[in-house]
Amino acid sequence: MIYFDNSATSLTRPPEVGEALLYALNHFGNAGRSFYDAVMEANRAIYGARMETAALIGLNDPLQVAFTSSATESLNLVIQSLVKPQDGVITSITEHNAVLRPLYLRGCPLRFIEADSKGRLALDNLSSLLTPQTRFLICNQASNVTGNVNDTGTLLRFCREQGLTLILDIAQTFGSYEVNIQDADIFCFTGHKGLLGPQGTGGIIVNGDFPFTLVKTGGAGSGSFNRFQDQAMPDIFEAGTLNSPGLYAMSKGIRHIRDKGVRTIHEEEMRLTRKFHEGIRDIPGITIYGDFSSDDRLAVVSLKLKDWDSADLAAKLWDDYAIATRAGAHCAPLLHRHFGTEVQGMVRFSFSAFNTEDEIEAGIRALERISRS
Amino acid sequence: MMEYLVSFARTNDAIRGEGLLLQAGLSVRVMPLPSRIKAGCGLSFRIRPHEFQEAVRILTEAGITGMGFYEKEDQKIKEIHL
Repeated sequence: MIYFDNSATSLTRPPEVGEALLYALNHFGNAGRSFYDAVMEANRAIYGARMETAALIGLNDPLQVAFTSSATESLNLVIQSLVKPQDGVITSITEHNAVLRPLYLRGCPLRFIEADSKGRLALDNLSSLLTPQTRFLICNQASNVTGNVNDTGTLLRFCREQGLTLILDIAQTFGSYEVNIQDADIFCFTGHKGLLGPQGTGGIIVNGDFPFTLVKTGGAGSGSFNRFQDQAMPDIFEAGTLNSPGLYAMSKGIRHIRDKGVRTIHEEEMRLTRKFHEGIRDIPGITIYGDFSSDDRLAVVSLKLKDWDSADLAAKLWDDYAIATRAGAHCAPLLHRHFGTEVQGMVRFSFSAFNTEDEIEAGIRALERISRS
Repeated sequence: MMEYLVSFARTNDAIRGEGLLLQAGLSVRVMPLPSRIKAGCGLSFRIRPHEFQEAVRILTEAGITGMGFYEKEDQKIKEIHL
């Protein structure tokens, strides 16, 4: 198999990630629930994961990292906890349903940042989206469809000028692209994509003090006679047993990334992406979506071929070439509507630094052959 | 044998504190928080008398707040105020 679906989840990982997962399954007790060696080992592993996560983003206090099961859970928790139904929220048409649906569920009034023909956010007139109720700007750092990276500097300046809280969905960027704690107020991340950890891991990173309200409660291993668990970070979001094996494994993925360097990983991924993009852009009938004018983007190439249904094209790539891609709408309905691909869909190729040039060439050849068929 | 107990307001502080004490070469033994002590965290540290002052210094300098300190001899526990 040639795995080109790294935006969905990492599949090739450093061996220490799987080793850590297996070790934890056989050695860890329930973190925070007792005191003996197996429990303390799980405690240390989770704290170590907080430290690795904090170090990767440049955060001083590891306790400002709360762990969840996914970026989706993180976004749900943060939005439910912080955004009131009457608060105005600015978001964008490039969002994943992990952002859109929690906002719809909250019922708050939304205004959308539009995009241009390459899917780039229209940031030149953000003030026109303001209402007297606007309190938050919630958006991705990079699109999971186009791979375009948003200008967080402009977004943050706007938020500071207008007194808004900036919440960034970094599901696609964390581990693959430089993310700095100064880029936003709150970050929601997943552990199984760029961080190379297992599925079922993710978290919330908080840069400052925010009036979170309790939206998830239950056993926390201490304060049993209190009506609710501790409401400070990270406990406010961590009721119930944490996924200590997964988080321990994720911490090994982060360690690998820190040892190698995010910049190096991004450069390797972009070298592969450039090669692929240059190899397919002139194939007759292919339409590529996104801004490829620089390497300041992610290793994602989404395309359509003539009038091929994206499902058929992905199936052909798999059946005849053993190439794994992602077809359809990629949980980003508004962006697909913007591009007019809500019926046909796109096929997304997403690369990691574990892919090879040979695999890229095989992908190019496959598309060339299919286009001639 | 008399030893000292340290309690914590938050479990994450206890976990961080354990790492700091072990890193400093101190021997810290963890036990459940005795039921007569009220604290936010269900863990407590048993510290040997000759290492207690150093342990308190390390934990305090690390910015850990909300700790409780106790003398413990068998089942008898007495809070001490530093």
